[in-house]
Amino acid sequence: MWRYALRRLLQAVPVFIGTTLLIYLLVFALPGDPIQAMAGDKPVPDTVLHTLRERYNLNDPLLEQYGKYMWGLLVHGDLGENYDGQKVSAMLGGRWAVTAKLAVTAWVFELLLGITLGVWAGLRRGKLADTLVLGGTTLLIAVPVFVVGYTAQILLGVRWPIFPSAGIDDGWPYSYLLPGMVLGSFGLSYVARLTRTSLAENLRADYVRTARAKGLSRSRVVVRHGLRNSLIPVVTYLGVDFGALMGGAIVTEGIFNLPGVGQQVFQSIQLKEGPVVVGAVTLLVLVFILVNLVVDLVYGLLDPRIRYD
Amino acid sequence: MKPLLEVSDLRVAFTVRGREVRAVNGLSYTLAAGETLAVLGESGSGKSVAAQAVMGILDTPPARITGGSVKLDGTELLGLPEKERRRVRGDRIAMVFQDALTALNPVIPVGAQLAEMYRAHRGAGRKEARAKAVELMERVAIPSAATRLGDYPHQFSGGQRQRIMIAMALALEPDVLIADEPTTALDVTVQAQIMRLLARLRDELGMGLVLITHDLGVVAGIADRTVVMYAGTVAERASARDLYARPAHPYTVGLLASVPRLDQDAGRLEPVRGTPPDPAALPSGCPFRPRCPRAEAVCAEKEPPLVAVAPGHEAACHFAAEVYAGEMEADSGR
Amino acid sequence: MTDLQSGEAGAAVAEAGGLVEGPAASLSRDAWYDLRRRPLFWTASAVLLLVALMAAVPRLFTSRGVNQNCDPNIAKQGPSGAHWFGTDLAGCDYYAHVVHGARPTLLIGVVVTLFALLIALVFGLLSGYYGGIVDAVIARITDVFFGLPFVLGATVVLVAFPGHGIGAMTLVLVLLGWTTMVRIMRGQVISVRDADYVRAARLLGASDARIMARHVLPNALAPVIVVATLNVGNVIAGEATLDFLGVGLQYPKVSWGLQLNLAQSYVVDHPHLLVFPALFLSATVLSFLLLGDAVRDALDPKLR
Repeated sequence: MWRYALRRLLQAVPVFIGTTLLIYLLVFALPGDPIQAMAGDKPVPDTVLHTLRERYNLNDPLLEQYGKYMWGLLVHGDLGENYDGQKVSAMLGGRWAVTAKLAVTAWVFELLLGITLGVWAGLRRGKLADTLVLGGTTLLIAVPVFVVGYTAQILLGVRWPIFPSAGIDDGWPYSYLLPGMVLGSFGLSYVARLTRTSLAENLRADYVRTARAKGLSRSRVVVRHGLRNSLIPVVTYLGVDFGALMGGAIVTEGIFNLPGVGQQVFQSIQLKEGPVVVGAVTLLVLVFILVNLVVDLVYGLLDPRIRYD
Repeated sequence: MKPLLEVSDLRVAFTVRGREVRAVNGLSYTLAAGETLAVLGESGSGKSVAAQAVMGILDTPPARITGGSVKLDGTELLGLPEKERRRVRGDRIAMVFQDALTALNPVIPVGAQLAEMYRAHRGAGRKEARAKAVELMERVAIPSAATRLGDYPHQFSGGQRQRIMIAMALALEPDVLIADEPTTALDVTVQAQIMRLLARLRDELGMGLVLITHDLGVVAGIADRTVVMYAGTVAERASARDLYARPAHPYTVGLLASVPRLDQDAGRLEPVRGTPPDPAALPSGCPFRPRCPRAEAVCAEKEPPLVAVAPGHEAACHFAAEVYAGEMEADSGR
Repeated sequence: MTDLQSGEAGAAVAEAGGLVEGPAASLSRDAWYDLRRRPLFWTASAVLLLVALMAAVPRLFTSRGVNQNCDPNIAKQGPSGAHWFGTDLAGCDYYAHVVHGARPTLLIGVVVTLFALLIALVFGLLSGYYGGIVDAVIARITDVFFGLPFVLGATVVLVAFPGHGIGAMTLVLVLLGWTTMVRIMRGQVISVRDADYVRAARLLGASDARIMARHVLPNALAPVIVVATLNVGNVIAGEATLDFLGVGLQYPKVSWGLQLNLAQSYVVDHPHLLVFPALFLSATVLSFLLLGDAVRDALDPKLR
């Protein structure tokens, strides 16, 4: 187990370097001069341009830039500063909380409602409940998130104002409920379907028949022998999905006007504010990789059959 | 002697794609304490379905018990409310399945699976149930039982897994144990060990044992009485000794001819011709007719009733008496 | 030893000695038989056929070209007899717009998936068949790309190339979307790599290339095709998202996602601007999902 954990950790290192390097190259090697972009259409004097480029290491070879950046990040926890002199960490600071709250809301929503719906359908395979859950979740998966978002906002935020339609003035959790549901709708559908299929399959397994032959109560058979095994793939998905929720929150943040990281990065990309983009995306990748690592290890605890070799 | 378990005219049907498939068509047998009954038959003969109906663990739907009765100590089990039925299951009637690797829960340690019996039925505490689980594992001869409680099924050998399966079934010292092909998934040498273990535990606990198998060789040494099933019905019923010595049904004759025997000349082994019938489309009259070397016109017209050829020996064949008299031997001895 | 099944076993041996393709052929025949009786399969196919027709021959559905005969005086009108789906911000016929939007949407969805499938087949085969260092390297490369957040990654690239068209969109979507299928293909290859018929072929001296092409690929393909079908739907949704965010296709091109982008400020007062493109977009994505689901269920003997 520990050797396995160590090996997974070692595997994660090249992936982290590879992904962040890829991002770094995408942001800084693609066409478009950031200093020029900052000034807009005005011509910038060569000396100013040169000084600024020097200050942000833009004249170094890309790999060296990347190395200096990572050194600063990993050793000093320094995300660097933007071209206008603001610390990137300060620019992103409060925004992380918004995105994290949004992702957590969506995640809890996925977890609770997804598993509940999945169990409900899985226990009634082929019946009306099953058909409803399958149909509803298929629809939610098919309709793009921004359509779901606008529809939910118009219906539940404007026409029947049950939820705040935009902004974070009402704080957590109230302001985050509707955006959370929208962001989580895709994952919710996935979790429900996964739970359903997995549970229905497991309930037909030999060991569930054994559990019934042991004279256990139906709830004990379903929960301890059926559900316990069925949740292994669901937990895996939920884990991996948390990283995806953080990175995919941008559309939802836009629709509901939540000042999260996604919004900031999206603006920064347009403004060619490389340091902000790289800083935020690098942290997102770090979260994603760490969550995946944890999921892999948890998987081993949940399923004793897995071999660590 | 008053029978411990009494199954009479049990009927089970499945609804598959709107069609009714009759899997068990009137199975009857009795079992006394300390006795072993072998239920013999090919796959698809309805023997496993019947056992699950007796246990009350059939999936309903698609299965449906359409008739008959199952009495334990005189108490009718069919139609008992599920809650009371559950109390009987595992406690008074227990079951051992064919493949312990799939029949044991792969993600729960075996100790917990054993202890669950005491916790669910007896309300035992964690510690007590654990101690009982160790006892059980020792009883079925698992080495260093106490240290292996936390191991998972896949960490045991095939024979050990089946022992654990048996231990689990015997946890509450049931009156009746139904073993459904308990050795089919195992190596031949391990098969013999498991059968010896079952016989020993039967004697120690004085329980009735229903042994379901397709393998006549396995039951030869342990069974007192036998029921041969074919297409969901009883083809022949006799003491094990009589059945082996003087079969009265052409199907039984065929089964015996396909088994090598030490007590007779090693002739050529003959498999039973043809394949088991499709339970959704049973032939008219006698279900064995299409495969029967003795079939005549009457077999297509009338379903043969069970007739006694000797005290305690019955066969469902229009020519039972002739077969019993040894005509078949001459026939197949060509 | 008893052997009640000896007759059957003999028959099975005789069968296996005959045609190796036997089981596979009957599986696909069974699957087709199963598919034919699924109404959802036919519904999905009908919708996709309709959308494909729109993409191929928009003239069949509307006589108007892209942004033709627009009248700013009748902008943002709801559906009427003259304009079935109403009019857009510039007073163009919204129905014609939706019809012409089918082509880029469908084209990108299918082409991206084909490229991703190609990558998946090559990488998955090499990775699963050879294992070891090849597998490890491909797995890490896959992890690297899998870790990129889709929307942000795509935005970074697309913003760097202003004025990009369908080609650049395709490239970006392939770049960020090939990983899932590689993983599935790899798993499939591993599951058939050690099958008896593959070992038999190896013992008979078949080359690796021949084994992969003749034995491994055909038997590992089915689940990947299913995922590819589902993937078309996902790509279309992803493309629409980028259009919607304003970093995908740009005006004067037409696509459903772009229509939704232009409509976003007006949806409260003019819901038809949202409803029609969203309806076609969702129906198309849904049909690919249903089609993939139906084929998967039909191919899965366990469910039958």
